[in-house]
Formats: sequence, structure tokens, C-alpha cells
Amino acid sequence: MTKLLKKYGTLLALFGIIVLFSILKPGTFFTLRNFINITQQISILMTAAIGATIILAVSEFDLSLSSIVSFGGIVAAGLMASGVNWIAAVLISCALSFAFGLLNGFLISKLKLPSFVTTLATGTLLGGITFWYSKGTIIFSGIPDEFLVMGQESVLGIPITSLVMFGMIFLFWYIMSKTVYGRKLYSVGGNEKAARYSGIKVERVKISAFAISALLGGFAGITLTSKLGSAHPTAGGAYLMQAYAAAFLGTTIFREGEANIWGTLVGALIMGILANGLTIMNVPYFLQDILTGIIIVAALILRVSKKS
Amino acid sequence: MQKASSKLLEIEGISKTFPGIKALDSVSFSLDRGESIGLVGENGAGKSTLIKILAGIYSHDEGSITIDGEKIAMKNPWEADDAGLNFIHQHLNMVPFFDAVDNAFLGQWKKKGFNVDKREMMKRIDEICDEFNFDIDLKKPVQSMTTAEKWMIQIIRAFIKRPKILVMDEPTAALSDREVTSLFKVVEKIKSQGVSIIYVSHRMNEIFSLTDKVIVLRNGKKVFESETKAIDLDTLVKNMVGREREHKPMRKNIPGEVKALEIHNLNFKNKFRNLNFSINQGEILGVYGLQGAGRTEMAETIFGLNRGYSGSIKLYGEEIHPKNTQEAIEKGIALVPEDRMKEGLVLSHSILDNLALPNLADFTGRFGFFRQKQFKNDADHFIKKLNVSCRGYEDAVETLSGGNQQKIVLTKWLMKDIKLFIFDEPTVGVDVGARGQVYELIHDIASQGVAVMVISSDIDEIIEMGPNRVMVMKEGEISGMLSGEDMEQQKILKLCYRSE
Repeated sequence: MTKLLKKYGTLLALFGIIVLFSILKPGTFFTLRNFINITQQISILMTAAIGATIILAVSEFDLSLSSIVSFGGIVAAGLMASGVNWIAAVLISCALSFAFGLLNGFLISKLKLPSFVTTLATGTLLGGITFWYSKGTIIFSGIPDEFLVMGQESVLGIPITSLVMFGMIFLFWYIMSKTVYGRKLYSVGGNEKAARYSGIKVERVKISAFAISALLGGFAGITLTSKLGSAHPTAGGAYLMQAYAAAFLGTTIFREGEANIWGTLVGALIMGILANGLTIMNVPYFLQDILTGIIIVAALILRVSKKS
Repeated sequence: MQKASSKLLEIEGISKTFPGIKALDSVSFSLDRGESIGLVGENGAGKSTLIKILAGIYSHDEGSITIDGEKIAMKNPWEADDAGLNFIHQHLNMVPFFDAVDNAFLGQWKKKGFNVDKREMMKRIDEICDEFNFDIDLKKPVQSMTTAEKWMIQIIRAFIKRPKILVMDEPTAALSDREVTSLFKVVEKIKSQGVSIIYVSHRMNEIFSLTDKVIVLRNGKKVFESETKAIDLDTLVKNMVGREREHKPMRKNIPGEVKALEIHNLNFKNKFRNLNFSINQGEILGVYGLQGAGRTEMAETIFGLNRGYSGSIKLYGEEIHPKNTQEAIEKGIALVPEDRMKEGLVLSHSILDNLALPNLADFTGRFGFFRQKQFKNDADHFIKKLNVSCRGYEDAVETLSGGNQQKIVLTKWLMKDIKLFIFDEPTVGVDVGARGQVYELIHDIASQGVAVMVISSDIDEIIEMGPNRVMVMKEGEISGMLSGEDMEQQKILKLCYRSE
């Protein structure tokens, strides 16, 4: 019994939350419309959380994620506002986010700085740059309608952001569990020394992990801007905590003890459904935070007891 | 036409210096095709450094490595791999949650398009398993495998590309006797396929039955090389020990009559078995053994760091069951750990703060205030007594020299009422000049009636510090207890290498 609970506890929690809200609000919660809605609501979180999953796979941490999300959105919006073509704006924003990730990775793997404090510092730095570039204000004028299609339109009743998310989940699941690169990520995280002795270029793998994670973070920020039609210099604030929470919850299932994409999806769903259901029930926002906190602590306890 | 050299591997003048120590000093030797070489030497002789240089993990400062007539820079692990050198390291390096297949192919996974080709890898592994008669479940994560199974994976790993040279570093250290027998068969098989072997081991019987040639390293230098057939155990041990250091025994220590520590039938997991010994009041007992002999684990058990041991520990006739270190300290046992930097001191804190750590309870006044003044007086007394050279007691411990740091560790304990003092490698990291002072200290402590146990991997140290008796441990058992004239290098070493 306890064994089953340990193994499938997180999935059970997801299931339990769905059942609970379905009973409480059958007419509004348990509908196809709402489930599609939920996939849209978690799509940006999931994009950032995939990045967090890769970082956890190499046993590091990236505290600059919030700043990257804000940065990605502001840069794209700012460029469009100053007349740059929207596709070019998106590409430049992605490229700059990627470059920032390279910097993180370089500091951490080549200079051997601890990732926790390093990304805290680089994140603060990037936050400052974002404020400077945006002059601390919301950017909403000059964003072309074509750019808003991705964040606001649907195809065959399914939001484009949801489709993009599913595509990305599939792509990164494939990369992490089927390719040689995925094996390298996990071996660097699982036993760095063994990886090094086997001729794996540990530094490169780590730098690439930080760069990809930052690219995804920047893209999450761009999507957010597209969805809202505006960019705020602190829009990414909540994503650090939520993305890592989702990825951590995910380590309790499927590939036990290891970060994995499907696990992260379950984690993101738990948090997304919780937010969605509680909002439908008109529960005050602070209670969502309290519940999310409790769930993450419970998942950590589960993880520790599993490892021992 | 033969190339300039018919040797498979030629190592010439390899040197490696680490800060403060010359780990390898111009070592040269060569290896023929199909030949197996045994590499032996005491702890710290430079064997592991040499292996790591061959593996491309450390880079060498001087010298050259030539394989099949081709010079290899050997700056990276993959260079060794490309040259046909393969390794089974002392500590089996694996990714714990990967299965056997992914670990065997670690870093060299087979590809099919973008995908990892698991089927192809399985096929290759099955072939190797058939060849060596291995029977393992390839789908299990290695964290749930036995040491023998992990070892088989390492062999498989080495044979994915047929190696020219296989280097084995203490392969039998964690294996049972039965497993060692099957390892021998595997090694014979590898040899019969024309693969050359470099075999590093502390177990002399393995060296004698598996190798054609033996090379002895001492203090980073090659001091002896011979055909294995042409020599016996005595010759080998004599060469490992050397005759360079003259021993100046310490002053005589006269122990008391009363038994301070008595150990009966002490067992702990697979670390040590049936230990029986005692230490008298004021006696100094030296404990010698090779790595993995169970010395440190034995000391840790007495100090309350291990649970689940069986047998009895008596201190002055009173049976004690230390379940944690606090209890052991209250009973009057102190342990100065091997890695005093990591475990014995908070380096960035001041001398006084470090001294206060184990003594907080004794100097706690009313309302939980620390009685600073009284403590300072007491501390002052001991710091002067041990001759710690420092500018002031507020200095951070990290600013002191190794020897003085060691003294602070001791002072910390001397302020308590200690009946048994255990030292684990007391002079590791202490320069030669300061060692004498540490030995003096040990004698000072003993002369106050404290029973002392000194664990050391340094054979010279065991003799130099002037113990009353030397206990030798081998593979978790006591293999001998020496006293008086018998406490000399060769007798001690023979007890470690005793091949049955």
C-alpha cells in the first residue's frame, strides 16, 4: 500500500484533484471546453518547465528563469514597438535569451561557479537590463496583430499555444529519452565523474543545457506577450517557482528520482488544474499559493523517502 | 616490417607534481603484446596517479607515452580510448539509475539516425556475456546491482571495442572469495586473447598468480622490476618498503596495568569481523593496514558512528553501547578524524570558536550564557601547553599551518576528560618537520594515563611514533599483534600481504 502510494502518489494526487473539482463544480469544471482551457493556461508554464527539467537532469539549478521570461517578452515587444518586423523581433529575442544561457553555462561549468548563486546574480543583472530597456513600463503600443495570432487564436478549436506546447513536449521527450544527447544530459547529472571518465565533454553538455533552458524561458516570455498583447518588465516573476515546482513534482514519477518531461507535465497539470479549479470556485488567490506550497513539500517528502 | 619498436606500450620518464608533492618521478617501463604486468607499492606510492595519467584523467608534466609506436599526448579520456587502452577503475564509475546497457556504453552509445540503438547495443553485450559466461539482468538499474555484477559491466564495457591493453586497479577490493575465483578465470581468458594487462593490487597472491612481470613503485619512483617467476614474496615486500628512511624511535612509553578499552567479538556488516583486543591505561596502540582493511570503520564504530554492529565494547570494565558520537564523548572517547580539514575543524572560524565546539555544555552558565572568560583561561592553558604558534586566538584556523591545525584539534579534546583517544592518520597533510611534534603530543597524552589508538597507513609513521604494540589488520580481520622487537617493517607488511 505505502509502496503503491510512493510510486503513484503524484498521479493519484492529480487524479484526486480532478475528481474533487468535478464533484464540486460539474457544470463548469468537468467540461471539454475547460480542459482545453487548462492546456492553454499551462502552456507557458510548461515551456519554462521543460527548461527546468533539462537543468535538473544535469543536477544544476537556474534561478535566473524569471528574469529570462520577462526579458524575452520585453525585448520582443520593445523591438516591435520600435518598428522591427515581428518575426525578426521574435528571433532576436530568442537569440539573446540563448546567448544569456550560454553565459550562465560558461560561468558555471568552465569557471566552476556554483549554479545557485551564479544564476541568482546573473538573473538580477538581466532583470536590471530588462528594466533599463523598458524604462520600467509596460510595452503595449506598436505590437502588430500578426504577432498576437500565436497567443490568442485557435485552430480547429484548440489554442495555438496548446498545440505548440504539445509539440514541444513531444520533441523534448524524444530528445531526452531517445537520443544520445539525452543520455549525455542524464549521465552528467547522475555521475559527473563517470561521464567525464567516459570521454563525455561535461562542460559542453552543461553549457548546452543552460542555453536550451534559457531559450525556452525567453520563448515562454514571447508567448506570454503574444497572449496578453503587452509586455511587463516583471511578467516572468511567478515562473521560476512554478516551473521548478512542476519539474520537481515530475521527478517523483515515471523515471523515478530523475527529472523527466512526462513527469513535469503531470506536475504542471497539478498546478494548472489547482489554479483553474480554485478560480472557478472563487477561492482567494493566496489560498492557491498555500496549497501549491503544501503539495511541493509533500512531493519532496515522497522523493526523499523513495531515495532512502 | 616491424616498426621501430616491438613494444605495445612504452612509458618514458613520466613525472607528475601536485602542489607540495612529487607524485611521480620519472617513471619508465614497457609492456609487450599479451604480457601482464603487476604494479605494486605501498599506499601513496603513486600507482593510482600513474593509472589516472594513462587514462587521460590527469595530465603528466614530463615524459612520453607511446602505444604501438605512436606517441599519445593523453590529455583527455577519449585519447586513451582511441589508443586501445581500457580501464577498470578502483571505484566503479557508473550512472546509478542507468541500466547495464547504458552504463556499459556510457559516452559511446550506438546511434541509429538520431536514436540510441538499444537493440544493437544489447546484441554486442550478449556476445560478450556469452564469451565470458556472464549472467546478468541487463534491464536493472545498476544502483540495485551487486558489486560483482557492476564489475561484470565494467568488463563488458572494456570489451565493447576489443582493447589492446586492459588496466585493472584493485579489481578484487570489493569482491568475495568466490567472485575473485571467477575473476581469475576471466583474466586468464583475457590474456589468452592476446590482450595485455596492467594489474594493480595490494593482494600479493593475485600478483604472483596473474602477472608475468612485476614493477614496484615507492614514493613516486620505480624502484624495482623483475619477472614475477624469478622472485618471492620476501624480495617483493623488501623492495616495496625500501631502506631509505632511518627510524629514530621515540622515547619509551610505559603503559599502566589496568585495561582501559576491551573489545570482544566486534563485527560490523562486511567491514570487519571478530575483532578481539584491548588497550591498557596509558598505552599507545598502533593500527596498520592497507586501504579497505576496516581500520577506520572499526574506530568509527567505537566512536558511535556506526549502528548495527555486534559484539561488546568495554571502557574500564563498563560495557558501553555508543549509539552516537555525543554518547561516546560523554563516556570519554575522542576521535581525531583522518580528514581533519573537513571533519575536525571549522576552518573559517577562530581558534577559540573551534575550541569551544565540543565544550559548549561544560561552559554554559546561568540563562544559557557562554562563560567566555573562564573558557578563555582554560583554553589559554592548553594552547600554551601544546605550543600552538599563532598571533592571537581570534585568528581563523585556516591561517595556521597543518601541524598547528592538528594541535587545535587535539586541544579541543584535551579540555574534556578523555579516557580513550583515537587518531586516524594523524599526520596526513602535516609536513615532515612537524610530525615529530605530533608524535610528542601523542606521548604527552598517553603519559597522562589516556589510552591511545593511532591508525596509520604510513608504515614509517607506525614505527617512528613509538607505540607499545602494533595491531595489523587485513581485510576486516586482525592478522597479527606485534610488540617489542617484532615491530619492524617487514614483519608488519608481511602480515598485510600474507597470501594463503
